[in-house]
Amino acid sequence: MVFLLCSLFLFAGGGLCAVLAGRGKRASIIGAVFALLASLAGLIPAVRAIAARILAQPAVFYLDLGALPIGRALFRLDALSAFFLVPIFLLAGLCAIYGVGYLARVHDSDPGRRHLGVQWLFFNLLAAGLVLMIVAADAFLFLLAWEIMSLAPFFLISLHDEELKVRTASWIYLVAAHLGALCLLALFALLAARSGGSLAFADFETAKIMAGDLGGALGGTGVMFVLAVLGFGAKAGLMPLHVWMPETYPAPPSHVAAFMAGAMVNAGVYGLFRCLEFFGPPELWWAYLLIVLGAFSALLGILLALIQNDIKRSLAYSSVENMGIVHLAAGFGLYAAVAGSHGLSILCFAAGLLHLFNHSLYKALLFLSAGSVRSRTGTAELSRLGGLQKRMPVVGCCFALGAASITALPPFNGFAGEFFLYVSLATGGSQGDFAGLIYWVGLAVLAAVGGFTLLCFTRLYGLAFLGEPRSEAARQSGPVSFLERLPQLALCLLCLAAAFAAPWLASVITSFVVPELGFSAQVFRPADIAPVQLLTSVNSVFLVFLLLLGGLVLLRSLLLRGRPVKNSPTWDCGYAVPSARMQYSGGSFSQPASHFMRALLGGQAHLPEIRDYFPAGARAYLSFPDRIKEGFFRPLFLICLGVANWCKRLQHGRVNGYILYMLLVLVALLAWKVGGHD
Amino acid sequence: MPVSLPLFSLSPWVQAILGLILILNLGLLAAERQQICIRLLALQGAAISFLPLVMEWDVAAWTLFALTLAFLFIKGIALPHMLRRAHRSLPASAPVPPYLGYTRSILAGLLGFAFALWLAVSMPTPANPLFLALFAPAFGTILTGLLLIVTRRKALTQIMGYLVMENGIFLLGIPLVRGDTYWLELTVMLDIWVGIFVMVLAVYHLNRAVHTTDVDRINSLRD
Repeated sequence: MVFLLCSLFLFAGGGLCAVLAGRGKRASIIGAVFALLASLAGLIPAVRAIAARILAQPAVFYLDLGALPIGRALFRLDALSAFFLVPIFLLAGLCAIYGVGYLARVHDSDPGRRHLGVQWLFFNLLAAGLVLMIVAADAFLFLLAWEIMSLAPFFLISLHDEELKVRTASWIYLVAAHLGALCLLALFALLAARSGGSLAFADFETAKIMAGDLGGALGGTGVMFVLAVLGFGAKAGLMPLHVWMPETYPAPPSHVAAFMAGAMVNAGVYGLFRCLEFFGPPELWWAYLLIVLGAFSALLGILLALIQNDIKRSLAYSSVENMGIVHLAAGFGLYAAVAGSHGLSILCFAAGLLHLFNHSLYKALLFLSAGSVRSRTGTAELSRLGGLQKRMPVVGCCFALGAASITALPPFNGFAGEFFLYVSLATGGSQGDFAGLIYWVGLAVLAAVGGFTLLCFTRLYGLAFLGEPRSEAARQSGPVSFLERLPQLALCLLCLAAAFAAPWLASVITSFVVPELGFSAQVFRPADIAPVQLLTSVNSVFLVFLLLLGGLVLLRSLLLRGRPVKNSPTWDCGYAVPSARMQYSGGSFSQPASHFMRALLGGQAHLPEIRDYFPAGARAYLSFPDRIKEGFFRPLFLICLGVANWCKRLQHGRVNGYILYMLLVLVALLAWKVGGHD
Repeated sequence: MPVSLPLFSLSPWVQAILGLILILNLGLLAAERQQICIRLLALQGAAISFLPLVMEWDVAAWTLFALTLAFLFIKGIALPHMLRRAHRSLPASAPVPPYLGYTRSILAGLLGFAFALWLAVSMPTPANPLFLALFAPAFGTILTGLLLIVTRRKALTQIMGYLVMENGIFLLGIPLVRGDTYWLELTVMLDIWVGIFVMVLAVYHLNRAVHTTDVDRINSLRD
């Protein structure tokens, strides 16, 4: 725990030092070095907590720093929080390295325009807030950390505040984050009311046992569960609370986006899982709620990702999809727990957590690669990219690896979590009775999502990195700097390591992390761990396959050695003037899929009407507005705006009126308090 | 429940002064021209100034006289004089009717006094019977002051509203005076004195800057 405190202080102190170091590149270096040190210091207790659990030593560490104005500064580190801390520290360090390179170029392009020290302050605060939130064992401390963690990205997003899009994005983020925090405030108030005013998490847990019917007076644990899903789901980007994500992720510098997408979204899942401990025995409809929301997010998320023109927007929707899968797994975990099959429940939760862990790694990798693309070409729009593999081979390979991981191709690391979930669902479905049917539905959704993911990332990689450049900027782009390349390569290595360590990771999560979720800590038979062995064998087969492939490549280069190799253009059917515009575009690539799923997506095709015999200039385009945003949130906020505007009339600037308000309130209060006496 | 306000247990002098104050409240609400308002206000201030003398406070006689003289000077002479000077320095303008109209202003004032009476009878009985006796007139005067502030369009009349309100607060403070605690009244008055001073200055400068003291038109200055 000492190291954890050191890490928190290093984050906070580093941020302050960076601000003191001023606007320039020196602030970058100071901020990043501190973030790196803090990450290294923080990894020690996180790994130790898990190792202690594996070695069957006491593995829950407490620290009490005394009373806060409200609540206490209580820290608690167990296997679950340690599991969430690992990706945070990994990504904080790596994204910081990337940030030095990225911000240096931002600084060089317009020296002094942007305050790099402030950027680092908020980056470090974001990381510190996340860590603090995960180890907090007191509601007030938790909410405090949540607020720090929610507020810091606002300042990070608005780095390029001269662009309207960026300003809008930061406002949308701020509103979404605070609406979520509002739900959490209500949630913890209810929990505190149930535990007799205590804000300590330990008391929440004991209160759940004693509460019994008392919970019913406050609307029952059901209300709390819904509040938790709303509050934490908004952070995780669960549909229909995802609308901030596609707006926000493309706006900030890439290392911030990567950190948010890789580490910050996990906060939502962590919060929900942690709170499940406080609610007492789960009910069936909770499971249904999570399953429906998860399936909905996964399917609609990936479909929307499929049709975006902006790489980062597409990645943001893919985050919605992945969070959907995690919640789907959690939903089935709850479903199995309610049905009494605890082994299956643990497997489902483990699948969700494994997927979450892997998602952190490859999503950060993809965002960093996409950031390199944007910083080199000045755009992240697919319609202006192309042919980048030859121009920035390292970034291209990193993106390819990330894409292969996220599409859950074996043996890459995305495969492990989804495979685990497939096996769990199949196990549940093969129970035979009617209750098993829902597992098969989940399996079908997961399979569909898997297919669309493959299509989506083939599209992203293919359009951005293969073919011919679609714009001059893409043609002119070149390789990226060492500082930007290093974190990407490191993340590639981590992805590969996670892929090959997947069976081990899975067994650690199944045996040590998931049992921390209070409600499913019952018996877990070693026989239930069969999927882990299955995973090992699948991975070994694909490892052999990869080795064979590598051997073939090696063989080819051996055979070609000493022989002349000539490059020539692709066969073009004899057409004389091929141009880059004749390639597949983003819209045309995804058109079959989006047409097939038009009932869900509801896109509009704007096609030109051709009347003449001879072709003239015409434009055709497809638009897919986010239906939840346009159909639900926009009208809702318009109503809010209307009400707020109406309320402005109360503030008319006439002193007479204001005194009249006071007079009315005074008379009403007196009449109520004094007059009500007899 | 039969209710008797111990209003009539007061000495006839006190009753007379309280009655005069209430009538002047209505007069202020009805007055159209600012000069008349200032005169009525001066009269109300003077009437109130005699209260310490007739309330039989247990302080030395010379203190009472000194207090009465001080109140009379400030409420009856100095403040009205300031207001009159401010009024003269402003350009002459036709009186504007209040937002509520004169008749309805008077009715609202009466309603306010009725509300104060109702409050007085339905309040939990205070330990000090004098407080109960003075509550209704005092609170009625405060409400009249507030009504003046709310309904009048000219800044100067609104300031007079503050003064009427202060007179009400003064009345409310009278029962609290025990021995040497009359400084309470003095401090309240000093407060208002500074307040009015600043307000009159503000109105004067406002008029020089924007050539109006009509609050409707001053509103256009807001953002």
